[in-house]
Amino acid sequence: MQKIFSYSNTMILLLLVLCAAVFYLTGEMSSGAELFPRITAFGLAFFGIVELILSLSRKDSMEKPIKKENNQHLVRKSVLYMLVFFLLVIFFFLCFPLIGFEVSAIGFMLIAMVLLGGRKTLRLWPVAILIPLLLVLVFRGGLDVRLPTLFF
Amino acid sequence: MELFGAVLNLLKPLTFLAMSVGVGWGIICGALPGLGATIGIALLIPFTFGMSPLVALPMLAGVYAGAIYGGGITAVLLGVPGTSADAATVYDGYPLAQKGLANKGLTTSVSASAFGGMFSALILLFLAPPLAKASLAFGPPEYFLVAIFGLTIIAALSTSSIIKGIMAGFLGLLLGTIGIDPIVGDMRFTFGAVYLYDGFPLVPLILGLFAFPRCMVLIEDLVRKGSSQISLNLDDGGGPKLTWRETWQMKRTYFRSAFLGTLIGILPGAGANIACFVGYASAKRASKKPELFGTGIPEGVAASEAANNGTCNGSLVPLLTLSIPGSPTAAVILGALMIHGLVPGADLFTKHAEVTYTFIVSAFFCNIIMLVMGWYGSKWFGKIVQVPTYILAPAMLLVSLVGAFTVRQYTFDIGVTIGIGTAAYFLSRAGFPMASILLGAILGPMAEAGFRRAMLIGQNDLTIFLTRPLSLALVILTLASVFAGWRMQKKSKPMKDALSGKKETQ
Repeated sequence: MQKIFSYSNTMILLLLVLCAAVFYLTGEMSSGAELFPRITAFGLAFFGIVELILSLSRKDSMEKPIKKENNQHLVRKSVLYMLVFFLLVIFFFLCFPLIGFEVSAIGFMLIAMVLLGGRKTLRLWPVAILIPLLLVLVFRGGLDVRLPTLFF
Repeated sequence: MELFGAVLNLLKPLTFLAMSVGVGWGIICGALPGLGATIGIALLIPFTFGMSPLVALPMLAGVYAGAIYGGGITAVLLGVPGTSADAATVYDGYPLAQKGLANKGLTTSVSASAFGGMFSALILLFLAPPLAKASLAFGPPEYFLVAIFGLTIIAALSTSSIIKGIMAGFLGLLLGTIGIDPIVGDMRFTFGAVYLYDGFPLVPLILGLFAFPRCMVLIEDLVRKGSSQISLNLDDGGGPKLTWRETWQMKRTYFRSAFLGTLIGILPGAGANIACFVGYASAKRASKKPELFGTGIPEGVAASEAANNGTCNGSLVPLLTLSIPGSPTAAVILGALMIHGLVPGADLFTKHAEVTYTFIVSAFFCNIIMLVMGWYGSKWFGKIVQVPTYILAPAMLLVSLVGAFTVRQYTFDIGVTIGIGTAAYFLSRAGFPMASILLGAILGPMAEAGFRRAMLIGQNDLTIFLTRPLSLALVILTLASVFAGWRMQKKSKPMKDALSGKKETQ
């Protein structure tokens, strides 16, 4: 059971679900537009099943099944950090059009650097302000990209 | 005539500045382990979006050249190759630095890299135009098969499993079907989102596939392994630089490695990773004192670096002529070309001759800029590895997210980068190569149009792919590349097990 739900096999199973979804979503198309997505989904599913069979039949699996590592607490910590970081990115994505690039980017940089262990305030603040301002200079000033802004 | 025009274009201040920025950025990305040419180009693409192709493409050429060389800096100073293309440079580069001759190692690295890059640029210049004419003979079946061949080549480069590489290619093809159908104009998989009518936006896709997962991996490594203070081998000043006499004595090594690297770059399926070892091994075999290799001699550094930079422009030969990237980085460059409205093939050298020749000639001149920068500034570039990850990772992420917004100025594109990036992170951990997904997404529309037109021409008879000589040749090449990739993976597994611990960066 552990081998079936190894990390790699889990991803392959998800891709097989995607293939099934493609077949379902193209069910109502009939003009020929459904042909290539279905062929592609079939190819993906075919090779996915082949890879699944090969991985289950391997005696010494190339990929280790999910098992307890010695430094389990570090693994859990890294998962937690990744999750928090992901939420931070989502937060930036939501705030970006509302409060503008400058404010959201400075906030993002500050929070991210503190989360990742930055502690020297004299370094954190200048970096958190300089990098977004540099990007504003390059994109808005140099490349004429209209980044959302709170100020005007 | 086009050559002369191309040289004049490069002498313009803005283009020259762009090339210099590209080379500098490339060296930084190459020196930072975990980044590399692919990420460097992916991050820079949004900045080039508003530029003329005459400025943007030389900039990207500079990144490619600089990144492959940049990995040699950390290979010499730290014994850790910045990119996998510089793995063989460690054998003699690091011992050189340990002997107090870091400057000799660094200057040998940059001179050999520049020579390899210039050599392969000349080959590209003379080989690409006649080869591009071959693509005039292509019809719809050939366009479809070229796409499939290109995908199998990139799949063969997959480090874990060729089957996963093929699956990734199919996934990319599936992504390429989003949007308007190229034949009948039906809307597919847009779910009513106007932003997807033109298909998946390419820049957010590139950033999501490469830059976003890389940032997450940097964060993951930081949390699990912690940060450590890196000290560079430069306390004693680094010793003397390479002399002209020493360079002249290594001329055979320079030429041999540059030639081998260029050849390996041209052959789709091989890459800089292999070239550095091939160049090193052949120099050792040809040397009168092979026992000195590995003890810290400049010739070992030169052999590896000339070969790996030779692959840069070599890999552009099949890319510019047949849309077949010779390496994962070339696949990203293909994306950049498409973004700037350039489709590989005969048209590149006719309708877009000015841009194409400027790009090719810039591939030559970027190496001169790199030589100057590296000769005088490699120690300073080396210091970049001391940038803490807690600054680097969020900064890279921010640049990626803003870069995704830049192209169409839709917040939706930032969401695409995040969504694709999250999926890419999990997929890359499971061993699926991102370059295959990208190539599938880029070549998907061409493959589909070719396939469906071929079916119309052949009246739904699949033998059309076997009865045309070019198509049959491509089918055979595709099968051969799958077989060769499978064999290569079986053979290289013991070597990869020995070298495990260095993450794939390209």
